[in-house]
Amino acid sequence: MAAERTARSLLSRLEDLVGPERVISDPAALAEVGRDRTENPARMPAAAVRLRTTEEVAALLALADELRIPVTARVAGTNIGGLAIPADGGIVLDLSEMNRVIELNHPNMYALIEPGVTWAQLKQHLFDHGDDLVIGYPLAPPDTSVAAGCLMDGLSTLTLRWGPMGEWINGLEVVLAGGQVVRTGAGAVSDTWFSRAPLPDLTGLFLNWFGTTGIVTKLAVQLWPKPAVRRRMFVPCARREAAFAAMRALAPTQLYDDVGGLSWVPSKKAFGVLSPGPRDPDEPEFYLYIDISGGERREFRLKIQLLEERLAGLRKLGHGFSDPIDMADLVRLNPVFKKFAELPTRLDFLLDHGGGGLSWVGTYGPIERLDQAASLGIAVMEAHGFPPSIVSRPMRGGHFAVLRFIELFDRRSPVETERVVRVNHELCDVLLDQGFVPYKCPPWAVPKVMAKMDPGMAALMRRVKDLLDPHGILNPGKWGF
Amino acid sequence: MVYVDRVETMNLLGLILQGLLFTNMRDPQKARRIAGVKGDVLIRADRMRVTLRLRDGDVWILRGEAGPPDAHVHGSLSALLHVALGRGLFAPALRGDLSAGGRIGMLLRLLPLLRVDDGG
Repeated sequence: MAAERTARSLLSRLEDLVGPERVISDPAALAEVGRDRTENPARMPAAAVRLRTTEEVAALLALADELRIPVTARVAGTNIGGLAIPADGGIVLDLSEMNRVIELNHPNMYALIEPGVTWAQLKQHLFDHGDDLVIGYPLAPPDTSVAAGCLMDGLSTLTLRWGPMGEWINGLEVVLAGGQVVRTGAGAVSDTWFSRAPLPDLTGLFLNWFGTTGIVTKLAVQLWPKPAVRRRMFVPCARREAAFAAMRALAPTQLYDDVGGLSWVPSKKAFGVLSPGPRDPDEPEFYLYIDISGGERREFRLKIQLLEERLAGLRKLGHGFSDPIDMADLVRLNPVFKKFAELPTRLDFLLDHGGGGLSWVGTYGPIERLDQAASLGIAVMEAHGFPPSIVSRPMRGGHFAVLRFIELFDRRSPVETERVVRVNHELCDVLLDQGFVPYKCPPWAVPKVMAKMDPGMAALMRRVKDLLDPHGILNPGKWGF
Repeated sequence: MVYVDRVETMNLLGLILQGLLFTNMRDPQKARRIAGVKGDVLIRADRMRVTLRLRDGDVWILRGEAGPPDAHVHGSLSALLHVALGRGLFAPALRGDLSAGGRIGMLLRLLPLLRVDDGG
C-alpha cells in the first residue's frame, strides 16, 4: 500500500514537471523499455519520461536525487550489452525528443547536437545544409543515437582514419546528479565548440561511463570535408589470416578511410540465409570492405592502384585475395549488397529473425594479436554451436583493432539464452587473456575487467563516481556501481 | 523459376548468381531462351564452383561440381563479374582471365540470364 502511494506520488511529481502526456506508466510500455535484444535480464522501471530540454533533464535529476530514485537515459534502446536497461523501480529518461541539430559549424567543422539526434537524421541534415561535410557511420540501425555512439567510443567507417568516436567529441553539456549543468571542452569558455583542447579534459568524465556520472544533453562532434570521390571496394579473402594481414598492411598507409572485415557468416545472413553453414571450403572465409576517397579522380585512381599493389605483395607471401570489386557493381548484380554499400543501414539480417535475440562480445585490442585472438574466439563459438560471426577492423591508423563475436539467438528460449550467457563469458575470458578489452562493457563483463584493472584506476573510478553521483542514482549496475 | 539447393551451404558465387538469375528470369523473353534447354553448366570463379542445372525452363543452383558438366565457364571472380556487368567477354578472355568450353550453344542461350541489364 505504501509502495503504491509512493509510486503514485512519483508519477504525480513527474507529471508536474513535464505534463501527464509525456509520463509513461503503462506496464506494457514500461516492460518494453525495461529490456533489450540481449541475454541481459529485463527490469521493470516505475516510469519513463519523454524529455525535451536541458532544463527538464536538470529538474528531473534534482527530483530523482532528492527521492533517491535511479535514472537511466535511453534513445533507441538498441545497445547490445544491457547498458540501457534501467533499474527496477527506476525512471527511464527517454531523450529521443531532444533531437535538434543546434548548430552546424562549417568553418570549424563540427555539429552541436542533442542526444536524440540519429545517424539518419544527421546524415540528412548534412546533405540538406551544403553537403560539404561528413561524419563516419557505424554498422548500426539508422534510428540510433549519434551521441550514444560517440559517448561509448564506438566504431564506424571513419574510425580507422580519425580514431574511435569518443575522440571526435569537442565538448559536452552535461547534467549532474543533483541537476547542476556543466559544459566541457572549448565550449565551456568560447561561443564556439571548436575543440577539447586546450582546457583540462573533463569530457573524459562522461566518456565510456555509460551515464553513471551525468546525463549528456548536448554534444559537439567533429565533421570532416566531404571528398569529391568515395567508393567502397569489396575484397574476398581466402582465409581470415589474409584479411588481418591486409588490415595490418593497409591501415598505417593512411591511404584508406576504412578497412572493415566481416566473416562469411554475417555476409551470408545478408543474403537471407538464416543459419549459414557449413562453409564451402573453396569460398572466401572473410570479406574486406575498403573505403577509398579522393579529392580528385587521379588521387582516387592512385589509391586503387596502390591497393592492388599491396594485395599483390601479400599474395606473394601466400595470402589469397580476389581482385577488389567496386561495391556499386555488386549492388547492380545483386541488390542484397546495398546493405553493405552505404551506412547507416537497416540491420534486418541481424535483427529481423525469428528469435529476435542479438548479443556479442566486442573488444578493442592489439592489432598484432588478431589472428591468435580470432582463432581462440572461433574455437569457443564452435564449441558452443555458434557459427563464427566476426566483425573486425583496424582503428586510428592501425594503432589497434576491433574484434567482435556476434550471436543471434531465440531470446524466448531459456536454453538458448543460457547458451549465449556461457559463450559470452568464455569469449570475454579468452579475449581479456589476449589483452583485448571489451568496449561498451556490459555489466556481466565488469567483474572480469575489474579483476585485470590496475587497482589505482579502479579506486579512482570509484572516487569519481562518488564525487559526481554521491547517492548512486545514475544508471546503477553499470561499471559495478 | 530459380532454386538454390541447400541454401545454408551455398557459396558466395551461388548467392550472387541467385539474385542475378532471379531478376532476369522475371523477364519472359529472357526466360524463354532456356525453356527447352537441358544440361549442366559448371561455373568456377577463383576457387568457388557452382553448377547451374537447366531443366524444364527452371534453373537449379548446386554447390560445387554435380557430375560431368555439359559446358563450363572458368575465370577469376572479377572476370566473371566483368561479363555479368555487361562489359564484354573478349577483354578478360584475351587476358586469359576467362575460358569457356563444352556446349557453347547452351552457354550463349544462358548468357543473357547471367548479365545485368540495368543500363548502368
